[in-house]
Amino acid sequence: MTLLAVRNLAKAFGGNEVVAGISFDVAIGEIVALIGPNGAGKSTCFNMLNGQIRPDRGAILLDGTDIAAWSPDRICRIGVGRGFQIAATFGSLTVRDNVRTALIARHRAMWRCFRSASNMFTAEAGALLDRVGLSRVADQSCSTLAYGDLKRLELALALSNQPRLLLMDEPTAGMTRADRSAVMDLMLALTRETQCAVLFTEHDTDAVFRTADRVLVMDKGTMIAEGVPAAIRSNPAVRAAYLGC
Amino acid sequence: MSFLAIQFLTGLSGAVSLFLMSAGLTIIFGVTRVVNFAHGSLYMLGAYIGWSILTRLPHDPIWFAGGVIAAALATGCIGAAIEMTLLRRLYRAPELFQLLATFGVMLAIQDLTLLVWGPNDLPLPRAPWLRGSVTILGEHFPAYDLLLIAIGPAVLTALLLLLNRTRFGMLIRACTENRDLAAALGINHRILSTSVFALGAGLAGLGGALVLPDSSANTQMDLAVIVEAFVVVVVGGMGSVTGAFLASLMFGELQAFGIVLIPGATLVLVFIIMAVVLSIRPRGLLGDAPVPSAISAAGKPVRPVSSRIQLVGWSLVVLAATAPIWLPAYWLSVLTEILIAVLLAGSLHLMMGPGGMISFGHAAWFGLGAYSSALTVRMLSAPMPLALLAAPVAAGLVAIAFGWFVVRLSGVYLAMLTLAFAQIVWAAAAQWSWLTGGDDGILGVWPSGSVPFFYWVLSLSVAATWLLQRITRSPFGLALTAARDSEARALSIGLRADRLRMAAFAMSGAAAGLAGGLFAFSTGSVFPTYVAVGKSVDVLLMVLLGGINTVIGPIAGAVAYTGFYDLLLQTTSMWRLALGLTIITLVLAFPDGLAGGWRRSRS
Repeated sequence: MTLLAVRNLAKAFGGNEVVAGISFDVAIGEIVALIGPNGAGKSTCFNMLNGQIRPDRGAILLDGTDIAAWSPDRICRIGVGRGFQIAATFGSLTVRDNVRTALIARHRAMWRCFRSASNMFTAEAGALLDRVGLSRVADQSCSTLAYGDLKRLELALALSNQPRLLLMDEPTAGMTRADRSAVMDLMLALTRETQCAVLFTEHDTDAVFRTADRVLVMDKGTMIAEGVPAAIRSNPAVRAAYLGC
Repeated sequence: MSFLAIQFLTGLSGAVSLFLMSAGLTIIFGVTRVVNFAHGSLYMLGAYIGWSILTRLPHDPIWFAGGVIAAALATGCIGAAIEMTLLRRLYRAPELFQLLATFGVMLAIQDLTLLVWGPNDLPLPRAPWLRGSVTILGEHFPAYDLLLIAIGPAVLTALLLLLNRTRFGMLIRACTENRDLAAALGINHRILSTSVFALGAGLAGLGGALVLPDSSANTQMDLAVIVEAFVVVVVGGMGSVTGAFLASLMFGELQAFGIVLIPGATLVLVFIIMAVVLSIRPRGLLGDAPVPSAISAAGKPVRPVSSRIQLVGWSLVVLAATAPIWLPAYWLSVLTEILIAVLLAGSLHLMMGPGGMISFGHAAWFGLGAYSSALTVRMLSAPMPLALLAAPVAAGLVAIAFGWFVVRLSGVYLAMLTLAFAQIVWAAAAQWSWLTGGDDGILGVWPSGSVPFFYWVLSLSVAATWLLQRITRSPFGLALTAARDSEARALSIGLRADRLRMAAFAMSGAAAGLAGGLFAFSTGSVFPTYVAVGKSVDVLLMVLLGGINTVIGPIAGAVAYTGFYDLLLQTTSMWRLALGLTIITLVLAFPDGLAGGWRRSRS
């Protein structure tokens, strides 16, 4: 069953076509890696899927609905969670309040002005923090967290909306090796539980080939290969794009 | 035709001193990221020093040129001294505190200027060569103004050569582009900052000295010109000298033709153009420098109030409720003023703290509220409660309309747009005398009795302040804080950052409007000064003195500031100097505000 269908998606910046008409599918519960050398157009592609950038042309169908020109908040509400390449969290709030805010957004409670937020969704937030392993730092300001923990917090924020599709832009960038596999395993376990599909970009090829069901390879704005990890690993076009030979 | 040509030339000559001011301001901003409120004072000092030098020199062109350059150099030295003794210590402090410090400098210089040169306007006796004129298309045009017109492009060219062709200019551009990287490459930021500040101050001094033959040195010129220069710098794009030049020309012409075409509305026109430019190009005409974050102090949560402080607060409210019994009438009126200030500061805090939007023009909402109340009484003969209801409603509605523009901008640009809007309201209050009574204001807005009115103020201020704090801690407040911290993240969890900000803006405007309505009744009158820049800065000071990241901060700040201000007014005629030095001392001693400093001293 197809969850996400991208058709002929394109975006140019100042005449330079960064994403030049790509098409791909993601099925329900599938884990798909989007890889490619630097400048291939992965992040631009992600930003279009998430609504941060409006595509020049093409369609983004989620469950058959074209969300191509939607705003990020609306895309979130129909069940797309997002992790950023450089972790984006609410730096002045505690870890728990970060998740609490996401839950307030999910339950559409952000227009309530006259009650205290400090006891709202505490149990739900605690459960989410438990699942990503952040309970021990729940009351710390998130500006004091180690980078690996920030990435975990991002995952919790993205998952708080119980998404059907999770977009993770380099979920393990800037992390130690041990942290990397821990976060990847966590992401896998959480998404397997909820049947949530994942589309992620990653430079760490070990992580890609170990976790992805299917791999998409971009280079210079176009999709140059697509297939199961084993097939991609031996694909000459992919080798050429990465190694330049 | 000839009339148009003369008007056009007048506009060009008027643009020159504005350009010199703004060029200095924009270069200083580029390198040091300081929005220098004292820049108008440097301009004023340039004029006064120029007067002192030129009146002692022979009256011929060579000596005039030498005198003007000497005035510019002297002003440059004063600028360097300000940078070395004060600003250098504050580069690591939040941007707003640097602004406060420069505001303190401005206040101090006002009183020092009075002390040295006296209160009278000082015109420069015009030498014969200054009185000459040339005939252009059959009309006389002052020769000196033609000279001015030539100076503008000459200074622009010199600055562009300096910036683009010299090593010093390369360092300036590098620091404007990326300060940290420039420091990492071994550029000595201290020396560069000092010299850039001196250069900017010198340009302001040059501008001040050059206007002497056309006007005179006076003590109002600092505030008048600084607001215009802010507008020019913002419209041109912060950090861009060419942008400042284009924007000054635009405003020079606008003023020259506006005075003829629509007299009385030029100020409004200037600020409407600014609003239009900023809503189309949020970084100004030629600006591409990164917008500095509004509040660097963000990154700390707004602290909840401990139960002990809450207890103290409510006890004070109860004590205040008994005040009419034991407090003399004068002190009761001071207490009333303090209560209104607390509400006003609280309203700005919602916007600035959780909302992350700095307002340089919060007096707009205060003034709108005051005028709404007064007009409701005057035109509808409405009773006080109805007039007090009109204040927040009117201010809140206007804030919703204006908020649509505001939430698209960020940082200093947003602050400047709020300043522009406050100036529109101020201009309307001063110029539409058929409605507002102009500078004479609206009188006779008295409450029915002073003691019942005190209870109105007490209950409304306390209730509204409590409500504002409640909102800060509500789900809405949390979402608002989240949108301040990371807009991208807020959007991707489903929060509309712009709508949250707009709502906060409207709530803040309504609360400030209520404060304005109460103030109108407490003084029995309204004047355009309620909307003046000084009032906006007062509120800003209260919040910043108290500390942005505490809920109790704005309250402490309002009480301290109002009490201290009244005390100064009573004890010294040099209250500006005293206030300015106090602000500077406080900023140096407590970079995180009074409440923050108190907390720090306890931990």
